[in-house]
Order: sequence, then C-alpha cells, then structure tokens
Amino acid sequence: MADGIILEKLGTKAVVLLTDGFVRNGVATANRLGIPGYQFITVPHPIMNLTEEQCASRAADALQDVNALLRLDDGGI
Amino acid sequence: MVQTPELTAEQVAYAQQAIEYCYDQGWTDGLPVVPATPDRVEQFVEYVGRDGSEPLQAYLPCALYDRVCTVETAAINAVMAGCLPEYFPVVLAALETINLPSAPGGESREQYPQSTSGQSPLVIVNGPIRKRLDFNSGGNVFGPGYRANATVGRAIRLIIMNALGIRPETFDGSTQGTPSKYTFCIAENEEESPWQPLSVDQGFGRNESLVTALYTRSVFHVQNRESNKAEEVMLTFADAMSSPGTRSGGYIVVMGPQHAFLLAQQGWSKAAVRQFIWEHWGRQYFDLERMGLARKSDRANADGFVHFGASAESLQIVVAGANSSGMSAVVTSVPPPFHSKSLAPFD
Repeated sequence: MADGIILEKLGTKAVVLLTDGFVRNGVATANRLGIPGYQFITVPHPIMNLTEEQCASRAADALQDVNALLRLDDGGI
Repeated sequence: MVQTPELTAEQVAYAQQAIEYCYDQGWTDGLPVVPATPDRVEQFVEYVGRDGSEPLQAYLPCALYDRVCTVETAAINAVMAGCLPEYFPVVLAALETINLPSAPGGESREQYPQSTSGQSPLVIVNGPIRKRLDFNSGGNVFGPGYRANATVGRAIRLIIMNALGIRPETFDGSTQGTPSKYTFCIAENEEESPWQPLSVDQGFGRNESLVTALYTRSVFHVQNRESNKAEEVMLTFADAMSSPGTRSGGYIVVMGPQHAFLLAQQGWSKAAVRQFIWEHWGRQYFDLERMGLARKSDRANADGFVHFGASAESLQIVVAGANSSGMSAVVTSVPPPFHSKSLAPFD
C-alpha cells in the first residue's frame, strides 16, 4: 500500500492489490499517509502457497478490476 | 531504599483516574501504565544527559508515516512502563541497537515489529549494571518478579506501540504474536558461567556493561537432565533448533548453568560448543521436502544435510537461569550479526 501511494504521489498511476487478510493494515497505511479512502483491489488470501497455475488464475480474476482502477480518472492524489 | 509516602484514599483515587485516562487515550499494552508527569519525564532525560528533542534514529517505515521517536518520547514511555530513571540508558541502548542493519547498507530490520511472524525484541544485559540495577540473571530469568527486567522490556514495547504507532491489527501485522511481546529482557548469569560472557564475545570488555538487543520469535525449553555426556547434551540443543516449521537463520542459546558447567568440565570451550551445535543444526533435505519446506537454496544439498544457520556465528550463547537442573532454552532470532551497545558511561 505504501509503495503504491508513494508512486502515485510521484506521478505514476498505481494499483494496489492486497489479499483480504491485509485489508485492515492497508487501510491503516492509507490513512496514515493522508489518503483515506484510497481505492485498492483485494484478492482472496492466501497466495503464498499457490501453484503457478493457481496464481495465474487469481491474477486473471483480478485483471478486470485492475484495468478499471487504472482507467479511473480520479485526478491523482 | 526510597520510602514512598503513605497516600490518602482520595490521592489513590486520583491515581486510578489517571490510569484510566491512559487507557482512554489508547496508551497501554492492555496492562495499567504509570501516568507520566513532566517532572518525572525530565528526570529520565536528565539522567542520560541528552537533548529530549533528539531523534533516536530513523525507523524507515515510521519515518515514512511521519513518526519519529525522540529521547523525550522514549522517556515518556519508559515512565509509563514503570522504569526508574537509572534504567533509561538500557532502554535507549536497546532502541539504538535493535534496528541496526545486518551490515553497512544491508538488510533493514525495521520491518520486524510489523511482521506477520510476530517477532518480539529481546534485550540482554551484561556487566556491572546488572547487579547495580537488580536485573535478574538467575532463577526464573524469563519470568516475572524483577522490576528492571519487566519494565525495560515493557518500555521497548510501549515505544513501538505509542511512539512508532505499530499497534495490533494496524501496523503490527502479527498473525499470532508471542507472550514475550509484553516484555522480554534478561541478564547473563556471569557469576555462574564457566565461560567468558557475551560482552567479550561481542568484542567489549569483561567488566563493561553492555546491552545486546535483537528481534526474536519463540522460546523453546531444552531439557536433558539424564545425560552426563557433552555430545549428547549438545545434540539435544541442536535437535530443538532443527524443527523445519520454526526454521530460523539465528538462535540465541540461553544455556542453564548446569548444562554450561557440564560442557566446560569436559573441555568444551564456548566456541567449540557453538561449532558443534551449528554442525548438527538443520535437517536432511528429504525431511524438508517431505514437509514441503525445502527451499530453492537447499537444493545444493539435495543429497544430504541442510544447515539452517550460515555458520557457527549464527548462534550466540548466553548463560542464564538457576544452577538447579538440566534445563536451558533456545530462542529463535534474526540472523547475525547481533548488535550490542556499551553502557560504560553509566558504570
């Protein structure tokens, strides 16, 4: 979350993906960095023990949301 | 011994209100804290002779979040933890040691208080300051009953929570944490050790007060009351350190005096003990593979033994506890180097 917000502050559009086990930490980070309500995408937890195929499937499921967030014209942060 | 004045019921009620106020502010670790007054905080700052506004060091994730721990902020939390002013140099030395990188420009250790693994800081005290401030190095060394041990360790936790803002379920991402996150401070039982103390191993003087601080995960007790053979006792240590599910690149072996004397009386130096334990600390590759825990880097030893530590330097030995039984403990830690800071100015 911090990396994504810093990139955005530097002018590069970013999309943050969190597994749903880390939503509270992510929201706290966004709040602390002064961007409450910062939009991000969640994917099911866990991912560390996925096979390569399962991971690719998880990524494919998230792709539409990633593209939507990339296209979102929120005027930057 | 300072005599504290007797208080009236009304004064005690005020104190209770102040304690509840601290709860309301979210300043506690769940246990009551000592309300900090400006005068008391000033005593702590004056004792170390430093500027209260001095930032202790850059904690990268916290600097990112605009959080800086100054000497004064640390003092406030040390007061709340129940420390005496004389303990404050130990607290500061631990804070200024624990996040030092593994090497110049090396891996940062600042992420550990936020890790899902749930590490807790361990503070180890050596030298004359142990006795002067009544740090426990003997029986029940991991347990309760000593103000110095209990409050120094607790001060580190309160600073992490209050000064750095790393609190459960926000920036502290511990999956489970560990009881030692409340407090974790021990002293070495130098008087009942056959070997040179940790302070000498760390490159400092034998009679120099020293603080060593590092992140740790778990304390496992190692029991071998049955054997009187050094190799068998040391294998018991190595075996306790070799559980694949608790694999760690560093260990602090907190050896009870009985074990230490048994090894020393059979001619084992501390360095030789470290080497022997390291050689047997790890698992056969097939055993790791059987549990799905073999790492890519382990494949070089696919036909044999995988060492869990990089070298004998990956474990450090501290003698602590009572000389009463064949009990010791091993503590999973960050990989070396283990950093220390001298307290010689306060000796």
